[in-house]
Amino acid sequence: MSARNLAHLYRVRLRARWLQECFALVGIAAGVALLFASQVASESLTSSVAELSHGITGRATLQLLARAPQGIPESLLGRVRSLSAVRSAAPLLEASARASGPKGSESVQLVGAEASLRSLGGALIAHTELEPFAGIGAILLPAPLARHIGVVKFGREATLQLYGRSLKAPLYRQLTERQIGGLIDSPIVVAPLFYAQELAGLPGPVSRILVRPRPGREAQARAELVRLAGSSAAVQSTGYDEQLFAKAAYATNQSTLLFAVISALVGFLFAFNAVLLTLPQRRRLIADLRREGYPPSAVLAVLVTDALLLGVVACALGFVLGDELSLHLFRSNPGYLGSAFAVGSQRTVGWQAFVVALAGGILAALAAVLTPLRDLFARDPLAATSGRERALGSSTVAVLSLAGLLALGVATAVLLLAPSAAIAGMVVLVAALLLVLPAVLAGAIRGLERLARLRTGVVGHVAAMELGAARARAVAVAATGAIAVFGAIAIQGAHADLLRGLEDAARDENAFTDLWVAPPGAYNLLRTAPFPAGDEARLAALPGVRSVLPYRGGLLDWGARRVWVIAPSAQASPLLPASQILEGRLRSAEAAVRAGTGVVLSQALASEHHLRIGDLVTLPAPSPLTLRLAATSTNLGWAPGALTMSAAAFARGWGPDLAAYNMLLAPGVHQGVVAGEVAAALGSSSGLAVQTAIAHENEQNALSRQGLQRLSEIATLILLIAVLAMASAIANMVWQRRPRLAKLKLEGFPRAELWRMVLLESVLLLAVGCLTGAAFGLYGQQLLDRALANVINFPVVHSVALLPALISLAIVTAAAAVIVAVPGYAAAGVPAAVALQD
Amino acid sequence: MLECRELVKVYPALGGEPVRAVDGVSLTVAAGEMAALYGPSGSGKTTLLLIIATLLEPTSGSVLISGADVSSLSERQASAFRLRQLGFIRQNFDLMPGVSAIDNAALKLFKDLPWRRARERVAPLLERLGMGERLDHPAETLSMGERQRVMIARALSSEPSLLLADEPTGSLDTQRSREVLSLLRELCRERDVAVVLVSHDPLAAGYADSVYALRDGALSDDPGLLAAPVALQRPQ
Repeated sequence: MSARNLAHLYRVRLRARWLQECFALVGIAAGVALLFASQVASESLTSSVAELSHGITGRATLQLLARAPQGIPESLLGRVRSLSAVRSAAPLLEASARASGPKGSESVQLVGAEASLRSLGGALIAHTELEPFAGIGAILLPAPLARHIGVVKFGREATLQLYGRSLKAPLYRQLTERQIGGLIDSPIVVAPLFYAQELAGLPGPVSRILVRPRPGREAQARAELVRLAGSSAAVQSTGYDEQLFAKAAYATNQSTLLFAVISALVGFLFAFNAVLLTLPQRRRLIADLRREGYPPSAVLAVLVTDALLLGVVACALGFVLGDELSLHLFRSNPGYLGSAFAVGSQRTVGWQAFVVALAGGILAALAAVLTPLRDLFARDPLAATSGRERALGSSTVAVLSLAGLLALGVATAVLLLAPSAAIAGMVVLVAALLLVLPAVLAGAIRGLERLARLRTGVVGHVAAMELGAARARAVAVAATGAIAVFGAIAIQGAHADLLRGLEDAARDENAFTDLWVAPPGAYNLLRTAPFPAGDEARLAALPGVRSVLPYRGGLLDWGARRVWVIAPSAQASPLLPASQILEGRLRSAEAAVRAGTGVVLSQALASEHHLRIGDLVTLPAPSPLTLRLAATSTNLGWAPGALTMSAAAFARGWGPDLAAYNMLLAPGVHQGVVAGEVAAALGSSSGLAVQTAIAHENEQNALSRQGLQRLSEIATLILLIAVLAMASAIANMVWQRRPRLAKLKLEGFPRAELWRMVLLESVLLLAVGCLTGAAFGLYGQQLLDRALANVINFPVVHSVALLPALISLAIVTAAAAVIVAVPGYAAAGVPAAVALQD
Repeated sequence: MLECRELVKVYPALGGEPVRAVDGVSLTVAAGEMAALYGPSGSGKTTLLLIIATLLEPTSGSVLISGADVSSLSERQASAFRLRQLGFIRQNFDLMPGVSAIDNAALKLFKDLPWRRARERVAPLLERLGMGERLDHPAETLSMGERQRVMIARALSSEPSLLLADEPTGSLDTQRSREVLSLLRELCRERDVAVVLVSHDPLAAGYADSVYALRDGALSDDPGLLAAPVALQRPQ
C-alpha cells in the first residue's frame, strides 16, 4: 500500500475515532512531558555546575586545590609556571558569599581572576577585559543577577557578605550573554584577583591554580605538581568538582528520575486505555483488509502508520508540555546543593532527554496500537469480527497472580538484602502490582456478585455482569489508577519520612546551643573564617549569657565526596546527635569526640573506606588529621555524608578560624531578648549575625522542604494525572457502552437505574485500582525509605503513612468519581431506540 | 390485547416533503395470537415497532395495550411498561458475555426479585426451551440458536402481555429458525401473550396467525406482497 493510500486510510478512519485518539494523544503526551521535564531538570542541574566549571577552567586539565579555607600562597604560582611540563597556569580565588542589593540578595560564588586566566580559553573572561578596572576595585555581575539584586549601573554598590565580613563593592559593568555565553545564569560575582583577595580578607592566597600541561605531558605535570604541593594543596583534574557534584546530586537526580518514570508509566497506561477503546474498530479493520486479500505486511503497515502518527504527534505535544513544566515547575534547584557548589539556573535540553522521551512515547503508541496484532496471524481472517473482548480466564488470572507474588517476593528480597537496588525493586513492585490486579479485580467482582445476590435490585447484578464481561478493559482502567496511587503514596510517604528525619537531625544539630552567632546566610556554618578579635569577650560579657563556645565546620573533599564536617565545642552538650547514631555506643563515642581523639562518620563513608568502630582514620585536612572512628551516624541530611568531631580536633586539621559562636544562656533568660542585645553588641557593620537555635532549626527545615520540593511537585502531578487518567478512561469506557446501555433501556431499565449501574461500576474500578495501588504504595514507601536510609544514609523516620495514603486514595477516587458522574449520566440518557440501530 | 388505531408517524425532511414513515396503520392482535408484520426494507416496520414499544411517540393515533393507551407515556412510565408488560426479542442477541445463560435470562427479574427466586422463576422456562443442560454455561459458549432461546426466556420471564420480535431469526439457519419460531408460537399461546413479529423473512411470517403487509408506511393488501408468507406451508 502506498504512503498516500496509508495516509488517506488513516484520515478517513480518524473521523470515527477522533475522541479516543485525542485521549490517547493526551495520555502519551503527559507521559512524554513528565519524562522529558524531569530529565531536563536533572540534566540542567548537573550541566549548570559543569558549565560554570568549564567556563572558568577552559583548557586547563589539572588544578592545585587549597586544602584549607585560608587558601594557598599566590607565590606558589611562579613555581608552578616554571615546571617543565606546564604550558600555562592561572590563579583563582573562589569564595561562597551572599550578594545583596536594593532589590534582593542571592548566594553567589565570588571568583577572583587575573588576565592570565584568558590564556586557558574559558568563557568567563574570554571576552571580558579585567585590565581596565584593575586597581580600581570593582565587580562584574552577570546581567540577570545584577537585575535580581538591583545593582545595574556603574558605580552602584552591592553588599557582599563573606568570611564573617560585610563589605560594599561597586559594580564595574554587567556581563552579557555575548561575553560569557552559557554562564549568564550562573550565580557568580567576578572581580580582579587582588580585589577578591581584599574582599575575602585573604591578602595573597588563592583557592586554586589552574594548570594547562604541555601536550602529551599531563602525567608528568601531575607528578611535578604533587611534589610541589605537599600537604597544603591537592592535585586534581579540573573535572573534580563535577564528580563531587554528581555524588551530591545523585539522590536528587535518581529520585526525580524514578518518580518521573512512574509518572510516565501512568501517562502511557492512560494512553493505552484510550487506544484499547478503539480495539474493536482496529480488529474489524484487520479482518476487512485480510478478507479483501491484503497481505499481513500491508495490514501491519496500516497499524504501524497509526502508531507512528499517534506517537509522533503525542511526542510533539509532550515536548511542548514538558518544556513548560521544566520552565515553570521543575525549575527549582535543591538549595542545599548551592551551599557547596555554584549551581546556576540555566536550563540544558540535551539530545538524551529528547531521545528517551521520544522512544518512550513511540513505544507506548506501538504497544497500544499493535495490541490486535495477533489477529493478523489468526488462521481465520474473520476471527476479529466476532467483536468479543477476550476475557481473562481463571487459569490466566491464577498464573498472573502467581507471577505477581513471585515479583513481590523479589521486591521483598531487594528491600531486605539489596536496598541499593531500590529503583529496580520499585520496577519489580510495579510489575507485581499489575500482575496481581486481575485477581484482586476478579475477587471484587465476585464480592459484588455475592452482595447483589443478597439484595433485591438489578444495579449490583448488572454492574458485576458488565465488569465481568469487559475484564481486560476493566483491568487496564484499574491499573491506571493503581499505578498512579502507588506512585503518589510511595513518593509522598518517603518524602514525609525523609522530611521528618531531616527535622529530627536539625533538632539535634541545634540542641547544644541557644544562640548562633555566624556570618549571615542559609549555609553559613560550612566555612570557617577569621572572626574579628574581641567579639567573643564582648558577647560573653552580655547579661544572661552563660558561655560563648567556638563552633567550627566546613566541607572536606574526601575521595569522590564533598563531605560536611561538623565540629562543636567539646563543652557542648549534647555533643552528638543521639537520634542519628547508627553504630557504636553513644556515651563512649561522645567521650572520644569530646577528648578530641574520636570522630563520628556517616555509615556510607565508613563503609566506603572499609572502616569499623575503633579503626583509625586519616582525614585529608590541610594538616592530615588522624582520629579513631567512635561511631557511625546518618548523613545528617547532607547526601555525600557528614563527619562529627570536636572543634579542637578541627582546629588541628584546618587551623583556628571559626564558623560560628554557640552561645549558652542562663536558665530563664528569653532567647529573643538576648539575641537583640547580641545584635546591638555586634553592631550594624559586623559580618556576623545572631539567630536563635529555634529560628536556625526552622530555617534548616525550610531548606530541607525546598530541597525536596521537586519530589512534592512530582507527587502532586502524579495525583493530578491519576485523577484525569482514571476519569477519562472510565468516562470513555462508559461512553463507548451507550449501545449496551440502550439495550438495557430497551428491556425497561430507567435512566436513573442505568446511571447507578455506571456509577457503581466506576466506583468499584476506582476502589480496586486505588486500594491495590495504595497497599503497594505503602510497601514502595518502605523500599524507598530503606534505600534512602541504607544507601544514602539519610536520616529517615520509618513509618507507614496510612493517613496520607488514605487522603491520596480519597482524593483520586472522589475526584475521578465526581468527574465520571457527568458523562455517566449523559451516557445513561441514551435513547433505547439506539439498541435497534445495529 | 394490542390495538393500534390510525397510527401516523411523520418525520420532517430537510428541504423536501415530510416523510410519512407510518401512515394510518390500524391493527389488532389478540392475546395468544402471533401477528407478522411483513414488508420490504423501508416499509415502516421498525418505526411501527418503536411506536408500539413506547420508544417513539406517534404523530397521531394511539396504541392500546389491554385497553390502556401507551402512546404518550412519560419516560419513567414507558420504562416500567417495557420492564413488566413487554418482551423484546431481536436479531442480535443482547446477552452479556461471561454471564451464565440463566442469569442472562433472569436479568429483568433481578429488578424486583432476589437472585435465587429470579433464577427459580426463569429456570423452568429455559428447560421448556430445551436449555436445561446449559443453564450455567456462559453466553459466549452458546450456539446462535441457544442464545436466541435465552433471549426468548428473558423476554417472557416477566410474564408480559405483549412480545415484540424484531427479525428474531435473522442470524439463524432454516432448521434453527423453524425450531425457534415454533417454540415461540407455542409458548405465547400457552401464556396468552400477544406477539408482533417483524420480519422480511417469509419463513418467519409463515408461522404467524395473521400477516400484515406494510408498504410505504401503510398496510397493504397487495396479493403479491402477501403471497410469499401465505404460500409457505406451515409446519403442523
